[in-house]
Amino acid sequence: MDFDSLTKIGAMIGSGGLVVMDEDTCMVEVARFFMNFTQRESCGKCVPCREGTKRMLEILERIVAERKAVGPGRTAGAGRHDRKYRLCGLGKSAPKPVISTMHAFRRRVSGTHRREEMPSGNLLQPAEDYGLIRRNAKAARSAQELSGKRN
Amino acid sequence: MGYMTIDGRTVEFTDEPNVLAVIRKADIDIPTLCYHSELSVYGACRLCTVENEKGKTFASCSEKPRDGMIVYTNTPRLMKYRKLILELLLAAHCRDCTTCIKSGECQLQSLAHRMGVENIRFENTKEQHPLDFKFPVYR
Repeated sequence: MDFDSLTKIGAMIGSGGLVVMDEDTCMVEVARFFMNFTQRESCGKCVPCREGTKRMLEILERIVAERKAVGPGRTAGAGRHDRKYRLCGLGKSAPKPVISTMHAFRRRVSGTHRREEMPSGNLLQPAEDYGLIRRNAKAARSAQELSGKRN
Repeated sequence: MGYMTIDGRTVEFTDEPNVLAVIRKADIDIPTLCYHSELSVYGACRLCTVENEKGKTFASCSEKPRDGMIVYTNTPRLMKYRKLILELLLAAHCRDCTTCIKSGECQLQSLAHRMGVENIRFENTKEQHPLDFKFPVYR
């Protein structure tokens, strides 16, 4: 594990610390935690960072508080567009928690997840999400193979 | 001194301090809110963001022109991005345009109109201060 191999999968080492979480951890809550940090750290000079982090935090807080998701468009929109246009390193990595949560746990954020809560008070467990993503990928692959055979 | 390509047009530059000045000299209108030619570059509004041939974006006001530079000012991505910035600004803004004294000569208003910002998807979080009627203003 080094800087380059982690950069390749879109993660970053930061100061060298690792946070280990089990499958009971609510990933939206984790994203909210990191977004809260970047929002507080934002110096407020440039617009996308100052306003964008505020909005992303707001949306994540709403998801956590209401235990249901809002449309993915807004979170993704606020995140993805902002990312490359900012002035400094903080701004550039600020939307990363949102983007990577959307990437790895999309169903949780997009509102297509099951609504019931887990005993731990969290929404769906991430392990299940991964399962779903894997199954979807498998289904997509087999569909592709099928259509390939037809053609 | 040198030449750069802006939206496919070759433009000559001489002593312009930044890419934005060259783009404006080529009669391409790029919106800005924080830039003033006589002041030092602040680079905060990010509305003047442009794209190079590799798809890398940068704020044109804080970039020195280089010979052989290729710049795109109006790609769909940049339009979308400028719109989002205006949306973010308006979301934290008092939007009482009908009673605002700046209405009609407001840069933000005219830019939002020009860029087609039709609805703001974020809640208005502008702090509401109730009017203080405890004491009469006139006696």
